[in-house]
Amino acid sequence: MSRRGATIAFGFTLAAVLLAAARADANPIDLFGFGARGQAMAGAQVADAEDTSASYYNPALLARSSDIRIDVGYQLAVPRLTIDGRDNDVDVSRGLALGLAVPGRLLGARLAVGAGLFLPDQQITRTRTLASERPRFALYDNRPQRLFLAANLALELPGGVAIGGGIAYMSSTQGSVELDGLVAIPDPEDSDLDLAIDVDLKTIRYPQAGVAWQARPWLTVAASYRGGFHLVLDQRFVITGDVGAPGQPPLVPDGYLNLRSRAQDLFQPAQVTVGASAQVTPRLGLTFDLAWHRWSAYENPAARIDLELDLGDFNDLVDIPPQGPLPGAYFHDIAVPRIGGEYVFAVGRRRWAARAGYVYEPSPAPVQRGSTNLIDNDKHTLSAGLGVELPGLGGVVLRPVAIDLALAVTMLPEREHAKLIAADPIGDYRSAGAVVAASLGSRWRF
Amino acid sequence: MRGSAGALIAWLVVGAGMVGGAGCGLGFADDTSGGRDDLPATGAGPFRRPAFDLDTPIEEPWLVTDDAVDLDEPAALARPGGGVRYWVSHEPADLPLGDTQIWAGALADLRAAPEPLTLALAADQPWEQGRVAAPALIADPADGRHLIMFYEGGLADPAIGRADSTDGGATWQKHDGPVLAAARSPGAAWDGATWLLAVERPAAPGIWLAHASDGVGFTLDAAPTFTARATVAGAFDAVAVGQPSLAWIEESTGRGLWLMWFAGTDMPPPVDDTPQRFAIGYAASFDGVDWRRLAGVRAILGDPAGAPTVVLGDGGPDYLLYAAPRSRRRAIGIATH
Repeated sequence: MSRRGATIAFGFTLAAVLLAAARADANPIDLFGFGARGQAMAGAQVADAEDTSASYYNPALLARSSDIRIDVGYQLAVPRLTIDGRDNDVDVSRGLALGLAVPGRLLGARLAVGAGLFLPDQQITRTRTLASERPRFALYDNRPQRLFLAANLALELPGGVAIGGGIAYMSSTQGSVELDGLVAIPDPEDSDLDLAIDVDLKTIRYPQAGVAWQARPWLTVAASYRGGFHLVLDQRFVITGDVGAPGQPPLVPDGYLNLRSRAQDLFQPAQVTVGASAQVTPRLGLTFDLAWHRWSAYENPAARIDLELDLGDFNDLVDIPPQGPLPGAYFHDIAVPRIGGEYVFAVGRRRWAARAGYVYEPSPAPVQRGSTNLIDNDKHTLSAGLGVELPGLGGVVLRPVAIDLALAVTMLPEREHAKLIAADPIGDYRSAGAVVAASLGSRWRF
Repeated sequence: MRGSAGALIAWLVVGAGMVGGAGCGLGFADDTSGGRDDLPATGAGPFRRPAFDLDTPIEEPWLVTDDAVDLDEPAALARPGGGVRYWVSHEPADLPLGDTQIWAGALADLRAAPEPLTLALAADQPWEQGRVAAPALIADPADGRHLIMFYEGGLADPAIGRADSTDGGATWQKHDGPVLAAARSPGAAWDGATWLLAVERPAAPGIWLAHASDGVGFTLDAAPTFTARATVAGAFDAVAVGQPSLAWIEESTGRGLWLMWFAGTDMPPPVDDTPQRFAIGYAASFDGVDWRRLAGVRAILGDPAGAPTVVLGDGGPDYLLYAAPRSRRRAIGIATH
């Protein structure tokens, strides 16, 4: 690519990075990985990501590439998670994975900006607040159903060291619905109410950063940090006005109802990952990650309800007990080891790569023996993949185009939840399941 | 070259938009949001009465009514093929009072008409004093056609009797004499080793338990298992508890669980002939000895609803049958989970 072309592309990407600050951002791909190559290697990529997936795994690795990179892929994860053998109907997660990385130079040092995007094709972000006693797979309920957008800047330093970082964004919802007027009884259709809706999507920022060191020509060690966040849904519903029949003296003059619901949702734990990538032979590379996930900060996601009600003379007839305190979630921090490998070989004139990996993610959730039913299980994921480099297509695509396919199977061994109290409304149950994830991706260099 | 690069980027953006558009109902594989409602539950519900529906033959929320008969104290078992079989106290409005019998019916599902009630058990033993009522049913898990019925007999001296059917309830053979004296309104369950009766006692408030190893020789506990929670603010059962029913289930973890549904009220007995209004509570025990009520002070089904019996569906709905005043008679209502 010409110098001018590279400058234009760099400027375009930088603009995209800056514009990203106004958009929602989060992290659904903790569960399923980002990009087909990384997914095939079980996500053990903190020292190994060689494409735009570095925007997720370790921004520092963006500085390694001297090419403009555009990666496009599609990811799909199909869970079958069961309670007592019955499918809990956890949603499929699927969407488009896009990545962009553009190198440049600043004062002689290699610089790169990059952006990574996972765009779900069902809902950009879903927040579903359930009662804490209702059984649900806590890590698979809302977490896979959100958009991920990372924007990063990376810089190569002397001594084979690269650093990188960026900011990700998430939207917190605060809103109110206010109705003012006459609430008609016995026929509510005769109500005459003025409606006002005020909803703010407030930005939550969380950082991500990484460092990588080329310790030997064949060895890279690296570390990354991904900030945690929790999103608070704050909704208010207010009705003020008279209650009665139109044209008649109101049964309740100046009635008032104020319902406020606050729930913590879309939690992401802070994560610190260290890892190494070794080119063991010219054909074989191995990589290992160990991540720490701070799940101990997770709180019960159920809604806290505050209700104020003034029905005048009828107040004594309404007895709504105050909501008790929500039970704690009592999640704990976990360490997640990942191992992956890539073997390169040739078939004819084509370069192929076979990949495989394994990750063990212990459950941060305790056995649900009390009133909460925030279900989670340990997870064993086996992954495999295949990649091939096709010749450049000509035109602007002179470099080989990599096509990658990945398949990962996550097994959730059966876990028994035996309740402490006999009169528990849910009772004992067993949770188990499997998640099959697949990716098809293409990587383009310019 | 710049134009080609721009076109490529534009293509990627358009492609992203097309795929993203799948979420707007245009996608090739749109599906609904997940989350099941029929999650496991032990029997605490929540139970809801079906809404009135002109398209179905039953008169929701009533399962069976009769303007000339008081129908009371139902007992239910799962019906082969789905739905429930039920047995009820059947007391005609005509004199004499106290000639109560036990009649039986069945319901395939809430969209079907219930089978007509037929006589199942009548008083023919001296100790029954012309009255049998308040059935409690157990199905022998080893023989689906073997049913065991405990029932209340007698007027002045109520006691609990037992009858067995080996033909699926078509005919019944009574045991000689009562199996538990000075008791009424039984609930019954069997875990394969221990038989449990939950009963009311004349002049002794509360719910009492009696244990047996043979299903015949029951020993009553020295104290009631549950009494009214008079000191608990807001308790639905602050004034009285009674009319228990029992079940035993094996949970998915293999652990056995004794279940009890009972009627409770926070209303003092009316001074006139107005019927006392009850709601339904829930309790459970791992060993049949140490019982716990559902946390909180609320009922699992609000008044008017008494004399509960529950059939836990295995993958299907749970049915809760109850008795409550309807007009001038008592009738059998239904709620589901």
